[in-house]
Amino acid sequence: MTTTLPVLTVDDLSKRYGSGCAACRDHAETALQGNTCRHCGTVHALSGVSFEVHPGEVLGIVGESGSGKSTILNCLYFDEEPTSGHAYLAAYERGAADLWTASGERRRWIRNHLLGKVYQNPMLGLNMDFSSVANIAEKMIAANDRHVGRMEARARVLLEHTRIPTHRMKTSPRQFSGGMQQRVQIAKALSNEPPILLLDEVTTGLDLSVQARVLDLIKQIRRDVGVAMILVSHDLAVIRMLADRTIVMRDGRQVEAGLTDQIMEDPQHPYTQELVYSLL
Amino acid sequence: MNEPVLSLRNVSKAFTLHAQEQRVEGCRDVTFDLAPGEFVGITGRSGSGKSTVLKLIYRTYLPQAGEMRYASEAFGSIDLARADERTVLALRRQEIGYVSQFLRVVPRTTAREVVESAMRETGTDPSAARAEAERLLEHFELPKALWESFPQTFSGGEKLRVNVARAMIKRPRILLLDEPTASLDAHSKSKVRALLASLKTEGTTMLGIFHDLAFMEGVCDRELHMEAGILS
Ligand SMILES: Nc1ncnc2c1ncn2[C@@H]1O[C@H](COP(=O)(O)OP(=O)(O)OP(=O)(O)O)[C@@H](O)[C@H]1O
Ligand SMILES: Nc1ncnc2c1ncn2[C@@H]1O[C@H](COP(=O)(O)OP(=O)(O)OP(=O)(O)O)[C@@H](O)[C@H]1O
Ligand SMILES: [Mg+2]
Ligand SMILES: [Mg+2]
Ligand SMILES: [Zn+2]
Repeated sequence: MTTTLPVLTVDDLSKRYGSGCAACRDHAETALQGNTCRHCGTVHALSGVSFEVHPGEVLGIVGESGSGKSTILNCLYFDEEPTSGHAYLAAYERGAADLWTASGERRRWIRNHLLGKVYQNPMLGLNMDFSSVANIAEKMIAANDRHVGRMEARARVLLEHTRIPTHRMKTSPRQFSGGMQQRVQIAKALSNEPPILLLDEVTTGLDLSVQARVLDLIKQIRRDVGVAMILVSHDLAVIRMLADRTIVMRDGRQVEAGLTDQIMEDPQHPYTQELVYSLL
Repeated sequence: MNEPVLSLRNVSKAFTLHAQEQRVEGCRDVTFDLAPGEFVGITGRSGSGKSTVLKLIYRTYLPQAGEMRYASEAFGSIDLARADERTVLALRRQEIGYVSQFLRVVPRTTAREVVESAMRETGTDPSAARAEAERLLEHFELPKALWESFPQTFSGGEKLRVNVARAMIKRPRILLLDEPTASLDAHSKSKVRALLASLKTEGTTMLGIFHDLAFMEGVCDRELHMEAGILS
């Protein structure tokens, strides 16, 4: 009905660890136990995942551990190579070119200019040998901004925005609390003003009060910056709070997708019902 | 005769609960029209399907059968039962409001922010949204001391006033009200009544469930009665 191009389109994404065998390639339903082939041991981390993210929208992805949530983000951020599938960003070649056929150099450009990611594990998303300011500057340098004064000023604004105290900006995030590290990651992800943010379990493992502050920040970014987000979490409360639409994953497959309140209050699939009602 | 803003035709919903191998009927063959500016109440016993009808219109529940034809300002005539999710989200931001008995908000969001951000979603600039949020909170006599506190800690009646203010601030064309006065004292109820009346003069179409029948008769133009999922 509305006609703007999706910010991101993912079409039929599959990711296998292992080469597969005749059984699991042709009769996945019977050959797999969970996401793993009984015959050859290949892990089918993702099988035929498709979705769109629209401008300003927050798409939630839920599912239990091992269901493939992180793998989706890893493929999108080029940390993993998909086995098959296509992905299109409206901001890249006007959505006409598949990200996963781009050259290594183009991929680096896309990653530095069009994407921001917050890793489940801050050790993967931040260089702990650099200060917070330098971590952000690094992302901007990668995106070809080499004006030192401007970079530092922008880094400071972003860190202030994410409420990192000024006197700690020049120190390594190694010494920060988990919540602060996640906030530095968020500042870094925002530094190149990407059209979409990929957030992997941003609040997992944090104390409730710290979680609340990180959620606050995401909500504020959503309202003030209007950037689209994919929010991966196994925490339904987080998804309920922030996501407009939600995808439910199990064993690498999408079992259900819909408006977040509909998924929570009128889940259709037996697995989603189990997931939702187990928390009531 | 004005074209209806909303017409439901044979709308049915049953819930399949897989683990219990149960099928629960929510409503069956519900058919009615809402004329522009009309305020219609739904009555019926507990479990008769009143909330189900509202949630189907808002699309919190996935409709199974029937048509819900809505005359949208932005999209023209559309069937809410089949509208895509983006369209539903856009309508929720701009045209269709929902007030439930319960306030569900992001933790650590102040009362003022809750109300203000609903208006900012429609594209209103921050200072105008803020002024309007404050006007409504004042209208509902939410003590000023609470404006910058978190509704999680509010009493039922205080929460509800924030909730009603949040839904009303957008001036939706259709407002769905699911027992919005359930935990209010008489004074707050009269405030809600005054606001509903002023929304009605502005032309808002409303569909509401009120367990206080006297209140409902005071505000509604007519009533629909439900029995075991069926409109009688
Ligand atoms: N390098 C690898 N080799 C083999 N299997 C892998 C590899 N990386 C991931 N997997 C498997 O892929 C599946 C999906 O993993 P993924 O990390 O995407 O799950 P997740 O949904 O993010 O789980 P969690 O909630 O625990 O973070 C899991 O079964 C995992 O064991
Ligand atoms: N999300 C749901 N999942 C399963 N069954 C549901 C759900 N929502 C409603 N029902 C069932 O549908 C029937 C109608 O419920 P509904 O909430 O519409 O009643 P109501 O008239 O609003 O009642 P009350 O006055 O108590 O609020 C009930 O049997 C109820 O158990
Ligand atoms: Mg993960
Ligand atoms: Mg009800
Ligand atoms: Zn196999």
